[in-house]
Amino acid sequence: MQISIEIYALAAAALGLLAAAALLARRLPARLRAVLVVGAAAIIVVLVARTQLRSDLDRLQELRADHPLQRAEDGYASSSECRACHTQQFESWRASFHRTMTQRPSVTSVKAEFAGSLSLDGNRFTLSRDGDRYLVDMPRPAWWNGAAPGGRVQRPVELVTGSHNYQVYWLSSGNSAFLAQLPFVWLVHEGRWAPRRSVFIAPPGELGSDEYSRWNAVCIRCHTTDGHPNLDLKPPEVARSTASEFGIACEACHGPGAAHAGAMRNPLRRYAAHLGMRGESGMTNPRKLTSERASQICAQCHSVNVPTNEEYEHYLRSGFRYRPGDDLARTRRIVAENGKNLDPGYFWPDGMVRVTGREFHGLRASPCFQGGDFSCLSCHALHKPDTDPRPLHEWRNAQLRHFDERNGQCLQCHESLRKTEALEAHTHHRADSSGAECVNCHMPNTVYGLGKATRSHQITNPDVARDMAAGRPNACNLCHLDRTLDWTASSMASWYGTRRPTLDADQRKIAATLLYLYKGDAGQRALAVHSMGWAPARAVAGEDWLLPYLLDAVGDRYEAMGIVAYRALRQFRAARQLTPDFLALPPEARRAAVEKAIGPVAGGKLSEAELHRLRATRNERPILLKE
Amino acid sequence: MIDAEPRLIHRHLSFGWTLAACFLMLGLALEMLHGFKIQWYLAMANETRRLLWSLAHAHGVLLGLLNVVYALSLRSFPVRGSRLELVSGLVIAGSICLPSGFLLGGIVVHGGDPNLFIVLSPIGGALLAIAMPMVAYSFIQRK
Repeated sequence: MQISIEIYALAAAALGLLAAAALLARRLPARLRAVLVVGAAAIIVVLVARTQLRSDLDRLQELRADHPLQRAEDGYASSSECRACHTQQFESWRASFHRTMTQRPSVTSVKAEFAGSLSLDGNRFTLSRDGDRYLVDMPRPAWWNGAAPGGRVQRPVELVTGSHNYQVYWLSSGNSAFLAQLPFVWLVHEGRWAPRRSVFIAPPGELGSDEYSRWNAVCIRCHTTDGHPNLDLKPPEVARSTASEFGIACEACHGPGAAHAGAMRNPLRRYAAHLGMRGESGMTNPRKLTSERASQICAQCHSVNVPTNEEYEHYLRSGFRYRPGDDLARTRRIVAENGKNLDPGYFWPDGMVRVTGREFHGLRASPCFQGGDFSCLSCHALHKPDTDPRPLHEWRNAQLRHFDERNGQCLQCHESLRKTEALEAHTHHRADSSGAECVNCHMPNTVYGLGKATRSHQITNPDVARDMAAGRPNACNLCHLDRTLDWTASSMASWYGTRRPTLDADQRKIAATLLYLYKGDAGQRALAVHSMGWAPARAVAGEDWLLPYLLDAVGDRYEAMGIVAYRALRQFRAARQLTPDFLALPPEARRAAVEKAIGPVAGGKLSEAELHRLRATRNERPILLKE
Repeated sequence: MIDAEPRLIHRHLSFGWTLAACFLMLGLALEMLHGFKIQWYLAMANETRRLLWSLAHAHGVLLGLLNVVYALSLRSFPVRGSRLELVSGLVIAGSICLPSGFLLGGIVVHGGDPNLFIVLSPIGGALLAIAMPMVAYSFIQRK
C-alpha cells in the first residue's frame, strides 16, 4: 500500500503535540496539557481509522467496479516509480505504442471523433462525449441484462486499446468488470470509423458484433502489465480484473520493480550503483540475458503460446507467473513452427508465421538465430539510443537499433556486403535500388495484420518452389508485380542455382500477382493487393495498369480487403482524393462508390474473359487470420 | 575585538556583485538554451540537469545579493565582535559552495541523480546555516 504524504504529516503532528506536552509539562497549565494530549490521541485515532477506511474503500471500489482497475500488485511498482531515476528510458517508452496499448479514455487517449451516429446492419450507434466520459447509445446488445427503455442502452467507454493503426473501444457491460466491444474501430491514419469486422480477415458472417468478455480473458494478457483476469466463471459469472499497469510498461520487460524502487530511495545505494560499487540491481536487463531468454521476454506476447493447464488456472485468477528472465517454456508451450497440425490462422503450411504480432517464431526459425547471439534486440532498441537524432515520433515506428545506414541491421554481421560491388554481385540489383535492400528479399511482406501486409521476421532466401508449395507470394514477385513465376524461377536458377518448380500454363504467362489476386485465397489476395500500393513495387512495375485490378479487389466478399485496397488505391494519383467512407457499404456496393469517386478507369493486361476464367478457379477456402 | 572594517564591507560588496553577475550570466545562457531548443538541456531525459542549473542560477544570484545586503548592513549598522572574520568567511564559502554544487552537479547526471559535485550544495547550505544565526546574533547584540 502506498503511504500518502498526509499520513506522514498527521503522524508528525501527533508526535509534535505529544513532545510539546512532555517538554512543556511543568510550564503549561494542566488544562492545556490535557488539550495537547487529547489532541494527539484524536489525531492517532483519525490516522488508524483513515488507514482502515482507505483499505475498506479500496476493497469496496474493487467489488463495485464496472471496469478493470489499475492496481500495482505482486511486487510491481508501475512506471511512475521508474521515472525519477530512469528519465531517458522513461521518455522513449512514454512515446512508444507499447505504452498506449491500453488506456483509460481521456481527451489525450481517445483518437476518434465521439460525435454523431454510426450505422451497422441497420442498427444506429450514437456517440457522445461529456468531459472525459465517452458514451455510446445503441440498440440493446445480447450481453445487456438491465433495463433498456425503447430497446436502447447507453454505456460508457471504459478502456481504449491501441493508438497506432486503429483504436478499439471497450464498454462497461454492467456485469462486474466485464467489458464489451464497440463494433466499430477508429482507423487512425484515415481518421475514420470502420466496422470492426471490416479490418479482420474472416469469412463473411464469421465475426459478430456482440463481442463480450474478450478483454478480461484474452486481451488483458498482453495489453497490460501483470494483468489479473480474476474471473469467476461459475454462474453468475463475475470479473474483478486488475492490472499493475495498463499498457505494456517498464516491468513487462524488466520484471517487478517495487523492491528495487524501495531500495534505491536510499541515496547512498544509488551513488554506490553509479560508481559501480554495487552488484545486482534486482531487475532484469534483457541485454544481459542469453539471446533466447531475452527474446522470450518479447515472446510472452509476440508468439503463439499455450499455458500449461496449471498455469492457465493461475492466470485466470491472478495472472501469469512468468517473469522476465525466466524460461518461458517452463510455464507455456510455445507452438513449434516446424510441428504438425499448425493452426492456419497463424501459420503458412510450412510453419512460417502469416499474421502480425507473432514474430518470435520467425526469429527462432531464422538461420541468424541458430548462431546463438541473435535476438530481437539485435535489430530493435526499445529505448531510443543517445546517438539517434530522430524525434521520438519517428523513432517509435520500428524502434530499429541501426537507423543511420541502409541495411544497417544486417551489416552488423554481414560486413562484407557494405561494399557496393559486393552488394551488387550478391543482389544482382543496383546498390541504390530497392532490390539491394536486404529486407526486401529476405524479409518480404508476407505477414498480414492491421489492414496491411508487414514483413516476415523469418529471414529466408527467396525460393519460388518453397513459397509456391506453401501458397505464399514470393519476395521477387511482391516487387516485380508484372512478372510471372516462370520469370522469377528462371532468374533465381541462373543467379543462385535455386531449384525450378514445375509450373502450369498460367504460371508461365500471367503475372504472379494477378494469379494471387484472382485465384488465391483471401490471405493471398490481401498480400497481392497490399503489394500493388507498395511504393517500391509501383516504381519497378509501373502503376497505371494496376488500377482496374485494385477496383476489383474493392468489392471482394471478404470485407477486410476493402481497407487494404483503399490504402493501396490512395497511393495512386487518380485516387488521391478517395475517402474511406465506402468501407461502411456492403462489399457488393463498394466498387460503384469508388468508381464514382475516382472516375472511369481503363487499362489492365488481362481480357475480361481471362479474368472470368481465373475468378472461376478462385480458392474459396475460408480464411480466418488470428492477428 | 575587531571593528567592522571597510575591508570586510568591500570584500562582501565586490564578492556579492561578482557572484550575482556570474549567475545572471548563467541565467542568460539558460535562456539561450531554451531559445535554441537545445535538447541536451530541454529533453525530458535531462530534467535533472535543467532543475539543477535553474537552482544554481537562482541561488547564485540571490546569494550574491545577500552578500551585498550584508555589506550594506555592516556599513549602516557597524557591529563589533571577535567572530566577524569567521562569519564573513562562512558567508562567502557558503555562497560559493551552494550554487556551485548545483552547477557542477548538473554537468553530468546519472539518470535522476546529479554527479558527486552535488555534495558542495549541502556543505554550502550548512555553512550558511551556521553563518546566518551568527550574523543575526551580531546585530541583536549591537548597542
